[in-house]
This record gives sequence, structure tokens and C-alpha cells, in this order.
Amino acid sequence: MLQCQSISVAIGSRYLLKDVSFYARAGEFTIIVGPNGAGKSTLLKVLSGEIRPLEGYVSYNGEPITRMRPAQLAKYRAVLPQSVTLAFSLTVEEVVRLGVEAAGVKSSAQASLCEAALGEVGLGGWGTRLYQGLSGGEQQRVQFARVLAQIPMPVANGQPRFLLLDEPTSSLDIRHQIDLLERARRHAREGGGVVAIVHDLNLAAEFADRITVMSEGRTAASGSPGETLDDATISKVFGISGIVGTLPPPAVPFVLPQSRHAVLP
Amino acid sequence: MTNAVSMPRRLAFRRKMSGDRRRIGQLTVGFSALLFLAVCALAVVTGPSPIPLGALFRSLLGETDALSAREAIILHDIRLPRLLLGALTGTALGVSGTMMQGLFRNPLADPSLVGVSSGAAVAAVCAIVLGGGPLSAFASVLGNSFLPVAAFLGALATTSLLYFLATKAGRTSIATLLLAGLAVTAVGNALIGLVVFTADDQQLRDITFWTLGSLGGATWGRVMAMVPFVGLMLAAVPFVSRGLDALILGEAEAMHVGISVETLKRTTILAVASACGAAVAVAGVIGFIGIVVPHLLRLMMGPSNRYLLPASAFGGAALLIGADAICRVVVAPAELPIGIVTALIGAPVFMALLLRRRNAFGL
Amino acid sequence: MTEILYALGAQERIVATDTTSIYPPEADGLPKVGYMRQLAAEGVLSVKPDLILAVEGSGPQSVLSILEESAVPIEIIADDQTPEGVLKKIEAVGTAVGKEAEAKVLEAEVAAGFAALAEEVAAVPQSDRKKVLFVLSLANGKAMVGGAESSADAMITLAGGINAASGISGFKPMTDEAVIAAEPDVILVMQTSNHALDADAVFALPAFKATPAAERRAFISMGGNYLLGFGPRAAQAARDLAAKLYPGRIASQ
Repeated sequence: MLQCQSISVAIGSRYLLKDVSFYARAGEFTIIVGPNGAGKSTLLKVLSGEIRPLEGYVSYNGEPITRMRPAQLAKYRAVLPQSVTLAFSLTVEEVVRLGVEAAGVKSSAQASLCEAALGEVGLGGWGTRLYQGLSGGEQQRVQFARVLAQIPMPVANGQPRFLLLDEPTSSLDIRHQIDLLERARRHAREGGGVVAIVHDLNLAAEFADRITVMSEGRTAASGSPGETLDDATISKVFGISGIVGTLPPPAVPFVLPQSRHAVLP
Repeated sequence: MTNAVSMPRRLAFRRKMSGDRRRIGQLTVGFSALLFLAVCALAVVTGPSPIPLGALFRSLLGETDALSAREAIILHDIRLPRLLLGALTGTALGVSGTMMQGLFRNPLADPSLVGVSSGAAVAAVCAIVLGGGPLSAFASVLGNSFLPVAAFLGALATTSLLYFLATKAGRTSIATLLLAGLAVTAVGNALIGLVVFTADDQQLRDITFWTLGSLGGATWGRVMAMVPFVGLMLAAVPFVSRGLDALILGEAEAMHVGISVETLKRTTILAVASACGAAVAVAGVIGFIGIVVPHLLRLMMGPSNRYLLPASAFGGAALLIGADAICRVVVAPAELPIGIVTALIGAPVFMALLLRRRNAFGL
Repeated sequence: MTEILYALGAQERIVATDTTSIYPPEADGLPKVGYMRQLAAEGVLSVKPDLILAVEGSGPQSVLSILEESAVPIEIIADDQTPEGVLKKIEAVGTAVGKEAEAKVLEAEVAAGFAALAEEVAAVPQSDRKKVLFVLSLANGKAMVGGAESSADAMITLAGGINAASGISGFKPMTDEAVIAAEPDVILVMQTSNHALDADAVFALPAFKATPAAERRAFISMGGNYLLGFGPRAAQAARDLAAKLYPGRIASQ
């Protein structure tokens, strides 16, 4: 389990996170939602070890994060950041290789693992292309491939491994959004843990086993999708009421990704 | 932004050029090693007093009087130490340049950014001007080593100062390092100006030529003295190679893939200070190799440090030895300072590099 | 030039000099207006001179222009580094301070000195002439030498030596190999208050170790101002050098 307790993060006198406690269990897909500025990315950065909290602690499978060296932590979790800027021009394969190397793989096996990871995101054979020549969505999928290469097995040595994804679908079209989230869900189903920040509430509703709603640096609600995505919470946190479970006016079409599983009458 | 018409064509060209970087990397390392050996051979036979290659081979094969006594002295006591000093210095500059560009995440970075050259320059100028007066006690004890030792201590002092200015609570800010470096260089220049103000003609001449750099005065003693410092840098290469690659994604991402970023910064700065400090101490200020060699190689093989670092070592050494051969011959019996030749080669390449970056698609 | 003024007996009229005027020792004690190539106009004018005597090469040019515009008369004295040049210098200085008679006497002395030396030098056969390498400094283990058309070259020739660095022009660094190839018989250095090279430092370098000069440890060190000043003592300095090069053949007086 990935857990944090009483986390506070501040810049100067302004609190980004105030007394936040959170957990993500192995085998579960935990999604964090909330308005802009709620502290979602900050929480994820605390969980990944990027930011040191003012108060509180983070632990992976019971081990506090402060005792771990980066190389060790890299075997427990992989992080997909919101955006990545490359200082130099790398090929797709070189980007994914950085993840493979983090997993401590022998150099003879590295090339095939890179290719395998690229295959999982639908970019098989793209290894020799230049990263900077790809579209935003393709670049995001390459980064996801890197994450998958870093944590190839959901469970290792009996311990669950975690994927931390910060808005992984922001540049993707709906087909690829669904593909990515389904791949992440598979990681959870096979015993690993996934924590993702997702803006699309419909996708969150479908994929999450647990949802944490954040607002103004605190947790506003936490529980199953049914418990958390109700009208009261949504209107309190987002300031829009009457959008949960109601159909729009007849003239306006609605597109629900989760309907692809619908049983037709 | 580039216009829509030219983009697809550039895109196609770049896609074609990326290719299999592992292969290209390995080939380029091999090529640079061969180039290094070729330049070494050429440099050994080049000089104001010609020594035929045939005679050299015969003496290597054991024929004791293939070379005259004077030729043997020139070869053994002058050309060989100079060749090795050039190789060590070129390696130091080339590898340090690559490391600095990786650390600063910018192809325009070079070793002077950690303060090595400005610190050494202040110390060297003081040694030249004050060595006869206030510092004469040290000068007489150290003799011909006085200037290099002073320059090395100056380099170390400045780098340490910059490191402490830029590091707070165990975290080194690269941006602060850059800005502090600019400030320290400015102060250094002012100090140099003050000391120069009291210098006479002869000292001014000495200062001028020191700042232009030279491999003259190479002795086996100096070669041996340089080996541990350059060796320290080379020993660090396998440790920082992967870290500098990961740094391309940014400091946060490098941490995520398991790199201890602060240790990486410390190790890199130490390696660069050690090797470049020694290089500047014995050879004066030699510019452009630290920028030009890594950048040219990067254009050929991509930024992966695994191949770039070794190739820079060979490439830097080859370029410096080649430039030195030119220096020894072009105005013989006088000697051109090597900084002039590297600048004449480096500056046009540097300008082309800037222009290219301005037009570059994306990065 | 300051030396000339002292030799002509005009020294009481000197109110200030530049930093290179250190002979005779009394001159060293006079107020200094700065380095001859980097004068300050205000500084010069502040000592209220009636006459400014500046040797060719003083500067910077902008300061000289300012001084020329001021009400004070300024005389630029030519600095030719030859025996004739020395004589002309004495004449010019003498005229400028109204000591023409004394100047003529001094000129005759100096001319006689040069002439006598030239005769004795001519008597040394070409085959016995020694190759001299003048080393200005050894910064960082590299030799800065005096090539052709330098003041050192002029002195060496006057003393009957051959400049080993004649392939270079002026004071420049010399490649180590070229030093060996030049085969100097004698190394000549100058002493100043700031620096003095000693034989050990020079012969320790690989380039010099292999020279004929090293074998015989032939090393001459003379005062910088004395050797290269080209003032009234120039003839004496040249004789001194010649005596050191060819002991037994040329007397030092």
C-alpha cells in the first residue's frame, strides 16, 4: 500500500496542502479529481518523493520514503509527469530506455524491453524516430511507455509496485485515453497499484475503484465512485450543480465513454 | 515559428537522420579513437626540426643509432611529453565540456562556467607580477612549478566558492551557479586589472601569452602531475554517464528514474574542476574545445552520454594535438599560442552552431 | 634619458620622472608621474614643469596630445637603439636644456667608447664568434626570447655576438625544439628589481638542457636598465658584455 499521513506543503505562508491523508491500495485504481489549484499535482509530487512535505510522512508498503535512495524508490514506483521538456533531441527509444535502465535491466535485454513497452502503447517500431518530431499525444504515450518499462511487473518480490500518473490523458484523443486507462487498470488488476489524476469525471467514474476529491489543499471526499461523485460534492467542489446522473436537454447530444460497455435493450 | 511549408520537409530529413543511434554511437567512438591515433603519429613527426618517420620506426624497433643524439632528445624530452600533455589537456577539456553541457542542459555551456579559468587567471597574473616581489619566497621554492601550482590553487578556490554560493541545504541550484559564475568572473577581471596596472612591459607580455594558452614547457614532470587529476575525471565518467542522460528529462524526472541528482551535480562539478583546473594550470586558457568538440559530436551521434563522453575524450585530444602541431610549425622558430588556433577554428563553428540553434525546429 | 640629464649636470632642474627612471639611484627618489606608456596628463601638469622631455614611445597618444595643447613646451626625443641613436639622443637632450657644450663632451666620450669597442670586436675572427640567446622571461616554462630588431639583438651585435634567435622578430616565445636547433653558446638574461632568472631555472628546462650553453654552464646576467637602456652607459654596457663573451680578448674597461 502507498500511504501518506497528515501531509502539509507550503510556499512561504500559503498552504498548498493542509493536513492531507491519503492511501492507495494494491490491486486498486485510485483516481484523484478536483478543480485547478486544488493541490492534486502537489499531492502526487509528495507521493512520488519529488517534494518534501513540511509535515507528515509518506510510506510505500510500510517503508518510509525518507529512508530510501532514489535508485531504490525507482523500483517501487514510476511517475508520468504532466509535461516533460527535453533539453536535447532524443530518439523515442532513448527516452524509453531511461525507464528500462531504472528497472536495472542488463544491457543485452534493454533493446527488446524498449520495443515491448512501445508496443503496449501502440507505438511499436517507432524507436528510431525523434521525440521532438512527435505530436503532443504521441509524446505522452512515449512517456507512458517509459513508465511501463520502469515498472514492468505489477508485483515484484511479493510487493506491489505503483504507477503515479499526473493527467496522463491530457493530450490524448478519446480512443487513446481509453486505451491508456485500460492498460493502467490492467496493472492494478494484476496486483499493482495505480494513482492517477484525471480531469474527465466520466472516465474517473468508469475506471476508479476509489476516488479522492480534492479542494483547496484538502481532501473533500474519499470513497467509491458512487459515494463521491454525487451532486452535493460536485456542486460544493466545482460550483456546478445538477450534472450528476441527469440527461441534457433533448437537442444537445451527449458522449459517454463508459457507455461502450452498455447493454443495449 | 517555422512556416508550415518547410516543416514537413525538415521533419522527414530529421526522421531519416536519427537512425539507429547505438550503432552510430559505437562507430563514432571508434572513428574518433582512430583519428586520435592518426593525429598523434602526425604530431610526433612534425616540428621545426624534421624527424623522418622511417627513422622513428627504426628506433622504436630497437636500432639504437637510427636517430641522432639531438633527434632523440627532441623526440623523448620535447615532443613526447608535449604530445601527452596535449592529449591529457584535450581530453580534460573535451570531456568536461560534455559534462557541463549535460549538467546545465544546454549546448552552449562550457567548463569556464564553474569558475575554473577566471580563478586560475587571477592566480596566474598574481604569480607573474608579484612573483618577483611579495611572493618571491614561494617563487624561489617552487621554481618553474610556481605558476602552475598557483593557477591550480586559484582554480580550485574559485570553484569551491561558486559551489558554496550555489548550494543551500544540500541542494545545488544550477541557475544560481551560472549567475554567481558571471559575478565571480567579473570580480576576477577587476582584480586582474588591478594587478596588471602595476605590471611592467615584460610582465604584460608574459600575461598576454599566458592567457592565450600554450603547451610549451611540457616536461615529464608536468605530464605525471596532470595524470591523477585527469584520471579522477575519467574515473567519474561511468558514474555520471547515465545520470546526465536522465537529466535531459529534467531534474525531477531524473530523480524519478532513480538518479541521486545532488550527488550527480557534486561529482560532475568535482570532476570538471579537477581536470580543467589542472589543464588551465599547465597550459593557460584554451578556449572553444569545451564547446565545439561535444557539440560537433552530438550533432553526429545524438546526446547519449554513453558514447558522447568517450568520443569527446578522443576528439578533444585529437583537436588539441592537431592545433598544437600547427602552432609549432606555422611561424617557426617562434611559437603561436594555441588559444589563437583553437579560437580561429572554434569561433566559426561556434557561430554556425548559434545560427543553427536559432533556426532549429523545436529545441 | 634621465641618465643623460644627470651626466650633463642638469639634474637639479628635474622635478619628476616616470617609473622607468631608476638610475642613478637619486633619480629613483624623485616623484613619479606613472609608467611611461601610461601617463596621466593631470599628474604630469600637477608638478608644474617648465619643460617636458618625453622619449619616443611614451604615451598614450591622447595624453601626449593634451600635454602638447597645454602651455608647457614638450620635446619628444627619438629613441634609436644604435650607437648613432645614442649620440643623437644626447645631442637632443643637451639642446633642449641648454647644455650644448656639455652634451658635445659627453657625445665625444660615448662615440670614442663605441669606436674602440668596434675595433676590438672586429679583431675577433668570425669562427670564434659566440651565439647568444637572450631570454627575457620563462613564464610557465616557456622561453620568451629577443629576436632580430629587438634591443637585445642590437646589444648582442655591438658586443660581437651572434643572435641565436635571429629567425624571430622582436620579443616572442620560442618553440622548445627551435631553442635546441639554434645551439646557443651563451644564455643572456637581464635583472630588474622585479625579476631575475637564475641559471638553475633556465638549465632545468629540457629545451635548454641540450644546448652547448648548458654544457659549459655559460650564463650571463646583467642589469636590465644598464644592458638595454641605450643611454650614456650604453658603450660601457656593450663592452662589459663583450668582455664576458670573449674573456681575455676584450678588456672590460
